[in-house]
Amino acid sequence: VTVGPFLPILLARWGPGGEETLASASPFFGMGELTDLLGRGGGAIGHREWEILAWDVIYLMGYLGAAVSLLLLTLATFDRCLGRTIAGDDKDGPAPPPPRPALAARAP
Amino acid sequence: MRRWGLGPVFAWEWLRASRRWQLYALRVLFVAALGAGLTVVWLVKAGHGALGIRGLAETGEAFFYALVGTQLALVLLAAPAHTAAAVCLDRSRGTLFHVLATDLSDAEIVLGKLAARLIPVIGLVICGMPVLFGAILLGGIDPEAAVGAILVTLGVAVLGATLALTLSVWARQTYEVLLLTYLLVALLALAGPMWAEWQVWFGLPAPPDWLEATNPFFLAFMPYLRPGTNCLGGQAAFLGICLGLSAALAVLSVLRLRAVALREAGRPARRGHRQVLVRLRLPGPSLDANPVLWREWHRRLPSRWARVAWLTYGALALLFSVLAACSAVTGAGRSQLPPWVNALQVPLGLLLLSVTSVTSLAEERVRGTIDLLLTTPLSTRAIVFGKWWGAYRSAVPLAVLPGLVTAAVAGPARWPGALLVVGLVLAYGAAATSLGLALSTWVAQPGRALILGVVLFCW
Repeated sequence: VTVGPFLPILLARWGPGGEETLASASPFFGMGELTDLLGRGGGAIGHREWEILAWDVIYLMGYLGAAVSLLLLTLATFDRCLGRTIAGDDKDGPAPPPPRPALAARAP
Repeated sequence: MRRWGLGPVFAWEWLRASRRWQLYALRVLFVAALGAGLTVVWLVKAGHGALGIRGLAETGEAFFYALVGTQLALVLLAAPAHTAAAVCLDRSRGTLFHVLATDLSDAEIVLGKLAARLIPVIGLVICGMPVLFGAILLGGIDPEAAVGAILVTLGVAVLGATLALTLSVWARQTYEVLLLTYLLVALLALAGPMWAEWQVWFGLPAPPDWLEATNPFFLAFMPYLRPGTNCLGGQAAFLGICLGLSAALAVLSVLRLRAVALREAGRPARRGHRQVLVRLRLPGPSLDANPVLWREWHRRLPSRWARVAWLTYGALALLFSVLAACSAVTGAGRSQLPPWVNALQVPLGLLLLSVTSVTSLAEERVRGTIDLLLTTPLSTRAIVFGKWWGAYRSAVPLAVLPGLVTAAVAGPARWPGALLVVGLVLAYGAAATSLGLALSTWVAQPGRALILGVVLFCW
């Protein structure tokens, strides 16, 4: 049901090998592959399986990093995009005092 | 004076749409994405030396899967998103009543809106055609298969757009339309595999042959999955059925538009029974800590349509998760069921979540209630985090069933792997929520934000 799966599936089906780690980035392929890997029997986890698990942890961190980055970007642009102005939030400092009237300066 | 053609609504909406640069940028991006996909396939296939005739034919077949699969999935998602806001958004803004007060007929309003929104989707399909037919020159792609795939894609585009527009006549909010449309499309596509599984477990009769044809992916790939069968006839019949159903839905929309709009205009926005639901809910965040999160948690209860969509998804996910866990524990049924259950329930749940997260802010912008919130002394940080947590709370239940299925599959030796599955689902959900909130902040038009959110997340 998603666009993303097709390239990972193609990579895994026709690739020369090792593309499962790249395909795991897709939620569709990653979930199915991880469930399949963990259900292959109760024996020791092999080198190849450790590699896939490590990549899944990397993708987990990547998705979390993307989520935090997007949230911080939203926070930084929220006021400007929605036209919000906050009183006393002037980054240029306090407003300069009004200029003295010219006549007052000339007065004796 | 009698008017011919689709009428002024179509002329106005199509003129507006054709002057937006985003329409053309989307087409360019789509063709560029197809080109990038083909490049990846070519590098994988031909990156290790020169290809012979057989290798070229296999590459052509891989191109066919990549092009048709990508295009079909994109149309499945984009066509309903284009028309989901057609009626309900105008009604919530009040502009629909102005249109109804003119001498425009209901058919001109409905068909004008449908046609103006359908043309960009069909334009996307046409943009992909030269790429697909160009790939025929490599060999490995049957021209009949390419024509059949285009027919299936067009049928899906017309039916998806018309279904969303019909639901939009009754729905109050855009995300309700999208939730139900995507759920119906998923049920239709997965009806065959679900029936086959029930046949194994509950002793049902074998699924009828036509049920396979409700899955557009199966139908488009049929020339390669079932070589030798008359695929083009079946694909043309699929297009005919889609057009017939679309015509029936359009007629229904025309007949009910005015009555539903007038009835909804006199209906109060809130109903009394929701107050009862508020009291029955579990305790949430305090009002003093973050008023925005408190409001999202307690006051923004899902509408009836959204509840139906989420409950249907939850019931089916629960049923198949139990079957998958039973097959893992007892060894009965198909051994491939647990991976498929997790592979399908997680993206589908995330799709529903991405729709909900985009609309959490976009709908408030349309209604103007966000302006009220912005005039309060609440800090920006409190507003953004309140909105984020309010949308993200739907992601937490999505991780429960995949985690339990994985724990059942993994057994006592590998059960910690279930924690990784739960963590991944929560991370996907966080990314979908942040993307939805960011897009609804940056894109003022809710329809565009929805389309972008769904398409970007699914890529």
